[in-house]
Parts: sequence; C-alpha cells; structure tokens
Amino acid sequence: MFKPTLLTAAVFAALTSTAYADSIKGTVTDAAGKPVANARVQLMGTNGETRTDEQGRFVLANVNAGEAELHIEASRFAHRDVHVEVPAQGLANLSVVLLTTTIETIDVKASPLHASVTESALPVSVLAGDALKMRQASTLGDTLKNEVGVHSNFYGGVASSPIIRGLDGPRVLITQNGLDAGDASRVGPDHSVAAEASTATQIEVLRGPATLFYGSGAIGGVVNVVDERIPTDNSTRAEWMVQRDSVNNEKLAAGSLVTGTGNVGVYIDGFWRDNDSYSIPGFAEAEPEAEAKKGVVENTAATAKGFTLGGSYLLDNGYVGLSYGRLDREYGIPGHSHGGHEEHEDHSEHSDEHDEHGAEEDVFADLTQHRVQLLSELNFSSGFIRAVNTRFAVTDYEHAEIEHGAVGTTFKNRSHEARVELLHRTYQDWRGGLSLHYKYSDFEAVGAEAFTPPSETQMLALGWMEERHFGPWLVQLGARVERVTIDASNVLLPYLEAHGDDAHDDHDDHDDHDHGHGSDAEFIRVFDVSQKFTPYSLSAGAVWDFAEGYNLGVSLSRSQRAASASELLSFGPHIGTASYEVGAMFTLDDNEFVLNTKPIELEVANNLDITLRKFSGNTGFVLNAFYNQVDNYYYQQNTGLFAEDGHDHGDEHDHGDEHDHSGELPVYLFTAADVTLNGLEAQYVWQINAPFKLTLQGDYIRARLNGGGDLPRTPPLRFAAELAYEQDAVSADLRATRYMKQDKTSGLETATDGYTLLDASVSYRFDVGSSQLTAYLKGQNLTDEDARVHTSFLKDIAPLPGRTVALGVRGSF
Amino acid sequence: MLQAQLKAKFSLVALLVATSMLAACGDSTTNIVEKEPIAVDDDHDDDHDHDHDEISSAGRLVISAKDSNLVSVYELEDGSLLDTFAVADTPSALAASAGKRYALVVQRTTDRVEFVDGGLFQEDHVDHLHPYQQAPALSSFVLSDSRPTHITSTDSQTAVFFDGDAASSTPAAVAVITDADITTDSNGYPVLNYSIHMHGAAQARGEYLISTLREADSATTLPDKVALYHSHDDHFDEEMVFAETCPNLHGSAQNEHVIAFGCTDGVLVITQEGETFAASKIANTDDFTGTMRIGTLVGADHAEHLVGFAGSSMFAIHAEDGEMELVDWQSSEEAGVIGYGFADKGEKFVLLDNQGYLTILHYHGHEHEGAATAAEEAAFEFAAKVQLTSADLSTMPTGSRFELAISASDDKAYVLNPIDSSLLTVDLKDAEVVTTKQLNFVPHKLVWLGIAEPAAHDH
Repeated sequence: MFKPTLLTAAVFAALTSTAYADSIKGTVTDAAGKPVANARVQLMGTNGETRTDEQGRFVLANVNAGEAELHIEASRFAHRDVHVEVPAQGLANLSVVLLTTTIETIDVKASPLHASVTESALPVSVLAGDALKMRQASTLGDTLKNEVGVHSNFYGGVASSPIIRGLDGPRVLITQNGLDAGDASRVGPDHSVAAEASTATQIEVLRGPATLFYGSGAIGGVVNVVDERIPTDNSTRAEWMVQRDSVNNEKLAAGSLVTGTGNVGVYIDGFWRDNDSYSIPGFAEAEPEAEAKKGVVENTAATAKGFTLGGSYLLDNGYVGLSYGRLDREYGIPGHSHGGHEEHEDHSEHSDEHDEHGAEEDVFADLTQHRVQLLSELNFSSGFIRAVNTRFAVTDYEHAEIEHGAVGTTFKNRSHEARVELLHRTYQDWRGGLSLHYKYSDFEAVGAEAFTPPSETQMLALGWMEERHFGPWLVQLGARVERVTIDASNVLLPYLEAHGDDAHDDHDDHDDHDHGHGSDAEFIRVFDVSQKFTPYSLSAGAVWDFAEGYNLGVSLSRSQRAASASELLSFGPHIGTASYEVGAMFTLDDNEFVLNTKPIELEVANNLDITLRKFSGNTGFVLNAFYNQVDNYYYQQNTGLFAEDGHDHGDEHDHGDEHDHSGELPVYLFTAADVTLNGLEAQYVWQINAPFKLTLQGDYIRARLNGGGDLPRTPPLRFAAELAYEQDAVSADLRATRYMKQDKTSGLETATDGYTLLDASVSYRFDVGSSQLTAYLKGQNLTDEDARVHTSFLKDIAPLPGRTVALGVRGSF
Repeated sequence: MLQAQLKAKFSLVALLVATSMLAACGDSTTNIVEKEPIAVDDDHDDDHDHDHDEISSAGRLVISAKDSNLVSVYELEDGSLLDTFAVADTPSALAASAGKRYALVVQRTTDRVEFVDGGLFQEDHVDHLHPYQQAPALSSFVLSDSRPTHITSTDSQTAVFFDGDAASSTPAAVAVITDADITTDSNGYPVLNYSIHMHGAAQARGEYLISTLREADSATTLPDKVALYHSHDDHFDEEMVFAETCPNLHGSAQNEHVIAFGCTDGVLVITQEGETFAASKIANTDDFTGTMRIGTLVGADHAEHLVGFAGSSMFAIHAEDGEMELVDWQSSEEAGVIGYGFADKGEKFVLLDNQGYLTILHYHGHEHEGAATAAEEAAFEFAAKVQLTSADLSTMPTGSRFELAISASDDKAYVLNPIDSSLLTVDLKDAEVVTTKQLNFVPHKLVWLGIAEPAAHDH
C-alpha cells in the first residue's frame, strides 16, 4: 500500500508547498459518462472548495503543486476521494467518476475531521432533510428511535433520550451545534432534552466512544442537533411546517428563515407544539386496578414553544456569528403521582376550600432555557494554521417540577462551554489539529426530590487528532487529556431509614410504628467534596477501500470517563426513575450508608468497532459489530432496601392491609463493576427499480456484568423493513418494526414482550409560486398495538401511543 | 502576522494545559471535608424549633431607596445586606407575596410590578413544611399592566389591581397570582380584564375573585359595586353582581369567613359559605361624623375582626355579627395613621402614625369564637406607645414618611425613619426600639419577607 514514490511525492510536496500551481480543472460524471451537476469538490487539507456546473465541470484555483487530495460529493452518489499529482502548471483534464449509491450520505458537522456514514472508522448516521421532517417528534429519543443502533427511553411521550447501543444518561452526550445541550436530561429520564427537532436541519448520531471530540460525557456516543442558527451564508431561504396528530391532538407549527444582505446573515426560527394526553388501545398500567380508566395515559399533555435569533458576519475566509435561543416547555410527568389514585380523589371532593386549581393529582414540569451561542470558522490561506473553529455557548437552564400547584423541585443548570479547534495545514500528508475544550456547569436541584446536591463541574481538555491516507487506507489517530473537577460544598448524608422486606412485614404488624420510629433527633452529615479526575482517551481507526464501492472500517479506542456529579453525590428519592438513589461516594455498611473510603475510579471503555460497507450500485449495506469492555462501569445496584419517597403522606392516609411499598422506593446504590457490551447493527438498502427502494435493518445488543447478571433496560433485538416509493410528486413508505421479547433482565426488572409497529406515510409535492410544498399523511402504530418499551422507566404504567394519523404541510423556498 | 500571533498564543495555552494534565493522566483524587452536621427532627415531630438550623427565622427586609430604582435585601438575623437589585423604575410601593417569599416591587406610574425573591420559603412536604434559604434574586416574572395600585394577599394568593388610566383610556385589570406562578415565571395565572378604568380593589378567594365594578358614566374613578368572578384557566367569568351597593368604594380586606369593602355609607360585607356568597351592609354608626367613612380595611385570616380606618379613627368590625366599634388607640390630635397591621402572629395590632409613634394594641378577638360571654371584653386593648424618634418632624424630607413592616414570624416590627436614614427594630412585647441600623441611603419603602409562623390561635 505504501509506495516509496508516494513518500517522495509527499516530501516534495512539503518542500514546495509555497509554490502555487495554477488550478485543477476537471469534470465529474457518473458511471455512464453523464455529467454530474452541482457536485461539491473540496481540496482536502485546505479551504479550497467549488461546485460543478451543468456540464459537470469544475475549476479549483490556487492549488499548490504536488500531492493533492480531492473529496467529491453529490446527492445520490457515493462520496469519493481522488489523489492526484499536481504539476506546477496545474492540471487541466482531471476526470472523476462517481458511483451511484442507495445509502444517503451526509457529512457529520460535529467532527473536526471529515466523517459520514460511509467514510469514517467510527459508525455515524445522519438524519436530515425530508426524512428528518417526517420523523421529528416532540422528544429527541422518539425522533431518533428508528435509526439503527438507537433506541428511545420513552418516558410517556413527554420526555425521551436516545439510547445508543444500550447506553444513555451520563454516557450519551446531547449537543446542539456541537456544544452541550446544557439541560438536566442526563440526570433523569423524566427531564426533557432541551433541543428541538422541528427546526433542526440535521441530527447526527455518533455511535460508540466519541470522547476524543467531546470528553467524558460521550463515552457511549453523541447526538448532535444541528440547525442554522448561525448562518454560514445569506442566500434567502425558509422552511416551515404545520402538522396535526390524532393520538394526542398534537398541533405543531415550526419555521425557520435565513436571509441577509452584504456581509450579514440573519436567522430566525420558532416553533410551537401543544398536545393532550395520548390515547392507547388498553390500560395504561400493565396490571390495571379495578377502577382504572382505559384508553389514555393520563398527564402526558405538553406544550412547548421556542424561538432562536441569530446573526453572522460573513467574511471572505469564514464567518463569526452569535445567536440567542429561548425554549419553554411544560409537560405532565406521568406516573409521578403520589400514592393511590382513589385515596386522592376522595380528598379532592371536599378540599375545594384550600385547593383552587383542581386536578391536584397532576405533577408537571415547567422548563425554560436561554442559550447564547457564538460560532466562528476562520480559514487562513498562509501560515501553519489553516483554520480556527471556535464555539462558545452560555446556557441558563431551569425546570421546576410542580406538584399540587406548588413548586416541588427545581433543577437549574447554568453552564458555559468553549471549544477552539486549530487545524493545521496538511503536513507530511497528515491533516488534523488540536482542540482546546472547556466546560463549566453549575448544577443545582432544590426541593423535595433534589436527590443530588448542588455541584460545580469543570472540565478542561486538550485533544489532538490526525488523519492521513496511505494508498487505499485512511488512518485516523486521536488522543485527549482532560481534567474534570467536581466541587460540591454541601453533600448530605442523611440517616436513611431504609429497611429490607422483612423489616417491612414487621412494620405492618405495629399500628403505632409510624409514630414511633426515629423520634430521636438525628443528624445529617455534611461533607465538602472536591473530586478531581484526569481521564484520557486514545483512539486509532482505519478505513480500507479494499474494492471499488466497498470499504472496511476498524476503530479501536480506550476511553476514560469521569463519573458525573449525580452518580457520585446523589442521596435521595428520584421519582423519575422510581428509585432512591445513592451515589458512589457512599457505601453500604450493614444496612447503613456511610462514606465510601475506597477510591473513586475512572470508568474505562475499551472498544473495538468493525464496519463493513458496500455503498455503490443498486444495493448497499453497512454492517457494524462492536465489542465494548467497560471497567468500573457505574450502575445502580439494587440494595434490596426500601426508603421513604420523601412525599410522606402523613397518618391520615390509610394504606389498607395490603403489603405494599407505596410511598416507598427501592434503594439503588451507584456501584462500579466491569461490564461487557457487544452487539451487531446492520442496514441493507436495495433500489429495486426507479421508484421502489427496500431498506432492511436490525440491531442487537448484549449488556452484561462480567461478574454475572445483566444490565437493566437493555434494548431488545429489533428488525425493521421499509419499502419506499418515490416518483414524480408522490412519495410513500411502509415500515414494519419488530421488537423482540427482552428477557435478559437485571434484578427487580421484568421481561418485556415483543411487539410489531406498522408505520406508513404518503407525501405529495407541489409548487405554489416559488415555494415547494409537501402535503403529507403519516400513520404510526397502524395496528393499534399495545406496546410496552423495555428501555422505558415507565414500562409498566405507560405503553406506546396507539394508532395515530398525522396530517401536515411543509414548505420551503 | 495575526495568525502567527494567534498560533503562538494558542500553542502556549495548549502546552500549559497539556503539561498540567499529563502530570496525572488517568488519575482520580477525592478530597472530602466533613462539615458541621445538620440536626434534624423526626418528620412527625411538631416541634420545628431546632429543626433546620441554618434557616433565618427572623426573616428578611426588602428596602427601596428614595428616588432610586435600587432595592436592597437585608438579613434580619444579623442585619447584613445580602444584595441590591436595580429594578426598572423607582418603586411606588412594596408588598409581600402570598407566601411572603417575594416582594412585589410596584412601579405604578410606569405600569409594572417586578418581583424580588427574598430567598426564604417553605415547601409542603405533606406532613411537614420544609424550609429553604437561598440568596435573594430578582425574579424574571414581571406583571405589566396599567397603574398597578392596590395589592391584597391571602395565605395563598395575591391579587394585583391595575387601575387603568383615564388619560389613555386603558381599562382596569386584576391579576391573581401565587408564589408558584412567580417561581416558575408562569403566564398561566388568571387575569380579570375590565372595559373601563377604576381605582378599585380585589380580593382573591381560591378559584373565586371578589372585585369591584364601576359604572361607565360615573363621575368618580371609585367603584360603587362588587361582583363575584370565577376563574377559568387564564381568565375570570363573572358569576354575579351583588345588589348591595358600595358608594365610593375604597379599601378592602378579608378573613377566613368574610370579604369587606369600605363605602361612604358603611362597610359592605360578603360572606362565603362554600360556593354561596351573600352581601350585606354594616351601616356607619353614630361614631361617624361629617364626611367620616371607612376608607381602609385590614384583615387577617384567623382574626375574627376586621380593622377599619376612617381617617385616624379606628374601628373594630365584627362582620359576621354586623358590629362596628370605635377603638381608642389614644391618638393625639394631629396624628395621622400611616402604617398598620396585625402583628406577633395575630396577637397584636400595631399602628404607625405620622408623629413618629408606634401604638401597640393587644388583640383578643380570636378568642371569642362561639363564646358570648367574652363579647364583654374589647377586641382591641391599648398596650403601649413607642416613641420612635426625637427628631424634629419638620425635617422629614419632602415626599417621605415613616414606613412600617411587620414580621410574620416573631414579635418584631420594623420602621424606616427617612429623617436620619435609619431602620428601627421594635420589640412589640417589651414595647421598645431594640436596634437602630444606619442605612447608607435615604430609604423609601420596605416590606418583610420570610417564613411566617402560624397564627397563635390557628385552629
């Protein structure tokens, strides 16, 4: 692969890199020799870029003599890299042939190195364009749940996060334009992700460790929501959509506009969503009570609105832009009721004197986020630094959980983040650069369910990544060192009246137990904790173009993760997960929680990823296999104890004779153990003929503790088949997804039955004036299946929505 | 050139970062310092005295500066200044929210009410109320409507009456908010919109609102009728207009059982039994002479009596019994009442006059319940008069006056003296000024915030 001539050429190129050749001129055609118009031609490692004309011709000016690498991409064609030797007088007749592909290939914006579904060592996928518009949902997890390797942790339709290869929470980073979303979604499944899909232009998923670019929080992957809030050009364009969905009466209106004049680009977007509680075919509870109401999951209404304003100054060599976004969302938290239904209904009958606002059962969250972003890309035509990419964000997030009309718990996250990427000019054929990354988060939870104490987390990191072609091999290397500090000056260790099941039997026998226990004054121990981690990550990857239209990607990485503040310091009831959470800073000593004296270890993931792809011709596929060995994986170990949920119901509530733990939660302790995750992901695409395309995909994951046992909420084996039709003004698709039964469960977890979801949509495109409009009808769960999601914390009380039909119109100009 | 400099700078930073981090690569260090533990009681224990040690029980004061948009928050435990906030315009009044967590910073002439979070509040943890202490903050919640004037609060709700403006034909409105609305920056609270302006008053009663009505052709901006409204989401629907009129209505108050409005011919009393409301009038007694009328009313949830003022004459009004009795508070000839309220958890009533005296009355009214024999005893009994200053009152700055704030957690009252820019703390039990704090600005208005102790005779 590695020819001496190449090396000489490279040395020559380096020596003569200041000598400008004239230009590279060429044509881009398809396999049949027909010109490909509007193909993007990039001179890699520089800022040179152009597009082909109607005859497929292009001219790249100011090209250095010597070795050059061109990257050519066009819609419906496989991306292609071309290496050429550019003589001093320039190249005049370069001919590039692009092969058609059935696999939609869109570049990932989140990575400083070039990455797309068919070209990178690490598996990525991008949801964009019409596909994104059709799949967008009010929550991020539900938007992405049909992507291969991605499941949703479905939280009754009001919140959901993507689960990447069985990992979520503090291991999957949610970013917006490459910067942390700055919300509280990583600490609780009932906390909504503060990013909106309806105004996004693309959503990228990086599966597997991405700590190299993003740090500790990305050990399981990254989801990056991209929009144009800082426009990189100012050609006027707009997109809008309105939609109404039947299952929950969701009304959605969203739109965005980019415009500008001269050197100034301006962006504005806005969206509004409003929905009622959603309908289901059966009962919400897996084991409904005698008087349970059928057909609806109560308290899943939501209303959200937001807007973003952005502006950028467009320079000859890049842009600098600033944006402000505000997001407001109010949503019910299903299953967040306290105690039995009937008891409370009784109460509300004669409580109108002191309760003004009815519906006292409902608990809802009220979320507000302010976000200021500054993004800039500056390219330099000379000097060692080729480009400086800068991203800043300041985010002020707050959500209050309101119970009985009063604020129960308030979560606040004030964060700022800065990342500067310095990309060097191609040196010895190596492309790459340094990334300096700083992140600060002041997290606070106050109230009844403030299970985690206020903390400040700071992260400072230096990353380095390089890539280089060696003949048909693309080699990608990276390393990152990080320093993470967590400071919490008031970590509380209360005396927990936890007891096992046996003790609870006792409890039932003594009527006066409630009044008797713990009547002595107790102490809450208080600690000032400062924790410092210095995790590092190393990664090596290669993509081998072993045959025309095929490649093989291999990625090997060792990533360390600093445990998050909530994993370390929590101590309290967390209703969102229906558990009493105790952080790893504590340990259990004979049914009593004490300070953990053992060192807090870094989590270390050793990940091997192999990807085989075929991306040209009428058929294409992407096959991934991964093996991830994680040492010191922090997970919530069931202690077998129960503790009060913090919503003491007092003595007037008679809980009856039944032995139940109502008002009590199982106590889970964050513990580090070695685990192994492995799995397969496959996607096959067949363009049957011009209008019909068949996509088959499946994913499987196995997540187990090395010491025996399975991790909870692991996604089940899943298969999907989609038949798409697209011709002239009409497109349609029919999709069936089979979720198999999941019986690999952890303690206290139950198996979940399999189910099949049938979705279909029809779209009709038409023009009104200069606007392109699409009217569409979209049906989901057409067979009205009663489906329970194994990865959901609400599995037993909130099934997936029943049959729904959405009608919408979207447009753009 | 620029790039070269940039590069040099960045590489230096990068180098520093790299060396500092590589030193301990893959490392984890934990540093834990145990602090003073917090003593807690069992949840079922009623005694909260030594519970929640760090929470200020004395409360906090919000004080605005004269002719300034600055409002300061003081901690009363140690008299320290916690923070100062700039609101949009000079406040015309300060009032406490229903839960006494927030100060309403009323800016009447610029049509705005801003809110300062005092930082002391409690949450209902069902079997006990859990106290919280936070730093004060300027809330993002703002009410913007024309001429906010009378603010009335119950234990759970605050009604803000916006008078509207004749000059710009802006109609009046009433917003009814809870502390939770302020906390969450909600816009879901109900608002009553009128079609004309008036200098009115409103009293919130859970999902009901009793508010005033004015005829469009009335010669005065004062209303003369009262109507019952019922809240539906973000608005109120009129349920009924009470037939009993209230000419030149001014002043309103409520307690557990009644809502009252001051009229030229007496006091209009609305009684509530569940969802039924009835109106009646307590006519002015023989003690009323000339143009005397009740123009100010004061009530407390658990006090049987309302207090009415006709000029500087104080009346004890037992609305349910339809009685109105003159209270002798041993006023001097020239004294004008400028501050008043129930104090010491409902045990006392205090009166601040423009001569610089604070009059303390014992209140016995709540002991009367169902006991006819006790009716012999006067509801309000003169206890003491505290002279607040010996300064020459003629040196009072123009536009200033003494201002009163009453603690809801203990037996203290606070008075601002703009003559020497001081804040006085008055112990109502010992009837003496216990501390005088010099302020470094001329104070204008003040309000007490904190965690209220339940009324002494709360049943």
